[in-house]
Amino acid sequence: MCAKLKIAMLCWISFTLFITPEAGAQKAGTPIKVNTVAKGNTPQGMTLYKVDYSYEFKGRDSVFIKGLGSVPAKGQFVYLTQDPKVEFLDSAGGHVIGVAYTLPTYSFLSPIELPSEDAFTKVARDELWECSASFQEMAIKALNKRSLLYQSYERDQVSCLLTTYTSLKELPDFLCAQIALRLTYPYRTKDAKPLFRVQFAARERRIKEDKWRRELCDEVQKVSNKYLDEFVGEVIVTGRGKK
Amino acid sequence: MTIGVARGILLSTFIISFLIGAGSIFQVFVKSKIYSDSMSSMLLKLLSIYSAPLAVIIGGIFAQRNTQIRSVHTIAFWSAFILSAIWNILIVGRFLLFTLTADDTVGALTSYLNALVPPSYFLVMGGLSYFFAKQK
Repeated sequence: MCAKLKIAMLCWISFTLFITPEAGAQKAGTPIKVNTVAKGNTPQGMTLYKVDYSYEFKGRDSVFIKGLGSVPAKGQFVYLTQDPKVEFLDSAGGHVIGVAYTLPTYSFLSPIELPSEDAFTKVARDELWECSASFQEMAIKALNKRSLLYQSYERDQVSCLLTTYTSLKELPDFLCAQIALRLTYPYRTKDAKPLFRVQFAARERRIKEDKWRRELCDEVQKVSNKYLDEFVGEVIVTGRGKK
Repeated sequence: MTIGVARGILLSTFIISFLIGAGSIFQVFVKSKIYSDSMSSMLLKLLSIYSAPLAVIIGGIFAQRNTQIRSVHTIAFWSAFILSAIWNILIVGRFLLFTLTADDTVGALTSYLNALVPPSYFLVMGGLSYFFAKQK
């Protein structure tokens, strides 16, 4: 009898702690709606979850999502993360105001290709973020516009957005190239204003080759730099428009 | 048919096929569809494929100089020629496909050659030995 009671209590706690996949729709009073969670692996064997959720915290201007950063109080995000638990804080290092955890509903068939740390060129664009709008929001807007899937993580209180590879256009017919971006914010501060850094990792292969190469020819280098410049410009312009 | 003519035809079959294969590689490289190191490795692969039959042929030519007037069995010659042609078509045809199709890759070509060449030598080595290594 006692054991049955314990099992019933454990079940109840599990149900109340986690939003189950079946409970996909937003529950009354729950400001977070998890749409889907997918599980995948990188070629290096790291497990990543692609989380898709929307949220709305009324009576606030912004919230802080662990691993993502400061974002508006209402929004929707789709990104890759090592931890499928989404934790909302009232501010960076503040109190927890919401948590969502959902078991993966499906798995990726192919590995998720994220660039390794050493794949990034030493060339980087460092820019001042002088806008009042959230950098993450503007950066994610620009990433979504390009349909880029990205991993979001925090390292030493610095938010990083690391995208998967995407194909570069405007290249000769015999050449294929892909680019991935890494956005770091705040990279450091200058005159008490935060700087953000954008770097790229590009790879190329001739059309009849199987393997990607990191040594870039001039054409790919040029197109990659252009892609980076356009991206940075768009993030800044969008941020200024939101001022 | 004299043995000299038979040898000449067989030698030509292999030389022409080898040149077509090499030409295919050069053409793909000239069009910038492969890197120079891939071109080198593919040429080496082609050379290694043809090294065994060409070694038998060239060795036979240098070893036997005075056999031009000896006649050969027609069936033996045609058998050797048809089998050699099949073998060369299997190799060179794949190189031509590599050159002409859009989505073929170096890796796919190499896998094909690695799988096909070793077990297919029987098609040519018997005939070549008969015509080039036979002493009398």
